[in-house]
Amino acid sequence: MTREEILEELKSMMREYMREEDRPLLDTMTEKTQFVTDLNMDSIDLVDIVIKAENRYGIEIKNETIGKLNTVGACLDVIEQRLKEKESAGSAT
Amino acid sequence: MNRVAVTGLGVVAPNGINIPSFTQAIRSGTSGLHYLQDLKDHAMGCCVAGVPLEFDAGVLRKYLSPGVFNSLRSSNIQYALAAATEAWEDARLPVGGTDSLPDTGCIFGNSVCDVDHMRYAIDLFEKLEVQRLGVRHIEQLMSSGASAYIGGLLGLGNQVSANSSACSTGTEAVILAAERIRSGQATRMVAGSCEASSRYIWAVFDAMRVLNRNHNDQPQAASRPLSADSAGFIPGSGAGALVLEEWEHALARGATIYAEIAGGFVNSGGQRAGGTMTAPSSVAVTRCIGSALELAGVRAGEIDLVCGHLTGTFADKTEIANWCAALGRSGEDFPAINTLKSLTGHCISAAGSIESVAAILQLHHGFIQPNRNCETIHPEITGMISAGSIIREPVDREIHTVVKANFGFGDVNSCIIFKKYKP
Repeated sequence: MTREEILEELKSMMREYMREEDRPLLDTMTEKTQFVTDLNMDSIDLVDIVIKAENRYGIEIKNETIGKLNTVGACLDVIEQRLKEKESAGSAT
Repeated sequence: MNRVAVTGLGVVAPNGINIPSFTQAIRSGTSGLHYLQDLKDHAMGCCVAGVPLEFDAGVLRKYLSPGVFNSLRSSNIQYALAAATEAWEDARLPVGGTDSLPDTGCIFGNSVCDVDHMRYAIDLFEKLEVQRLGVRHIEQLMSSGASAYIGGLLGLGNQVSANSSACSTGTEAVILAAERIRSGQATRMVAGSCEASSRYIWAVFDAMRVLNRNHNDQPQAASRPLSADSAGFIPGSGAGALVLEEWEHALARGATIYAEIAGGFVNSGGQRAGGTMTAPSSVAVTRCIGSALELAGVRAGEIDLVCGHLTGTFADKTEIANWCAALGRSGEDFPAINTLKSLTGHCISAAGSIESVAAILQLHHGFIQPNRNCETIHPEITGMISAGSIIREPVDREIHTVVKANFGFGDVNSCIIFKKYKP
């Protein structure tokens, strides 16, 4: 999957947790956008999104990493990284 | 306004099931954390908990009728009764008199009932066997179960209530009970809180990804507040109890005064300004600590020891920033700080009362309990306060003023100040 494809899926997951009046912010967000301060999201909802992403991509993100996922870009980085690790583990077996 | 003395202490904690064993454990930095295979068998990520495994409910047999004793299943109430009777007897008061005491009450909180007990009732219901359940279940499953049992056992005739404010419950109970005495509405109060050993409650925290999953093979290293590699808290259970008494009344009867409750404050951030259901608003936390100091008439410079909430999540560094802002002290000027949770895990609604008992024991005996498992302090924390403030080895030190705070889901806070009694 490309980073852009993951971003689109992430956006649709995030949409479900955002207030209607905040959803237009998704159209202008960048990788530097912060979930809590820029998008008015609740940090605990971000944990729910991470769990959804884990299930969607078949990856695992450690608890201590979740606390550091403040921006959209950080979230994409970790998903991409885990997908790569999963791929290389798969090709090795 | 009346002054308030602490004249009795009782505890059932993961690392000590009465005051003598608990005192020894906190003084030496002994952990009460255990690996529980049952949690592994139920696919928990975190398989470590702080459970008072040595506790034997049989200690309650002498206080209760056989009917009550044999039907008492809720572990939160067992812990509460053991801690409350220990505190009561420690205050040299007799258990089980024939008259009620109109001047004495109880505020004993919990977050939820013992869910394992609730499941027992649900299972019988689902098996169409509800008629076999018996009569002594609602009294244990009601939120006020612990306070009601304590009130009945001790014959308390003043206010007998349960408070509930998540992880702030225990400290809030002590503050509310002290206010009852301060305002002249009661002479004596039993204050405390309890938390059942319930894997069902721990499981929902595990699902929130806030429990540490990295130390299942080293349970005593699993609770890591203030540490660079902390990755979540460890759940715990137990109860703490204090007997509070109007100052002159305590002096007149020659009671042992462990500490004075100089003041306390309870507030909420209203889930605004950075506060949410699960995260405390720094603005409100700072205000809570500041108001407690003001009501106690204590200057921030007088604080010798901060007994923090500090659970071992990424919120620890925010808490340190809040203490710095509230006390106006940082770097080398920051007082000593510790958290009982490195030894017991986070006893949820029992945390505040068990930690208050620990704070008072340190004040009374003149020592500071070490923070375990922070070999490498989080660099953002050492950027705010001196590493020397974070006590990591047992220290014998005379301390005079301790501030203790707890914060709970719902963006609720409580902060209390204990002072050493000087005859």
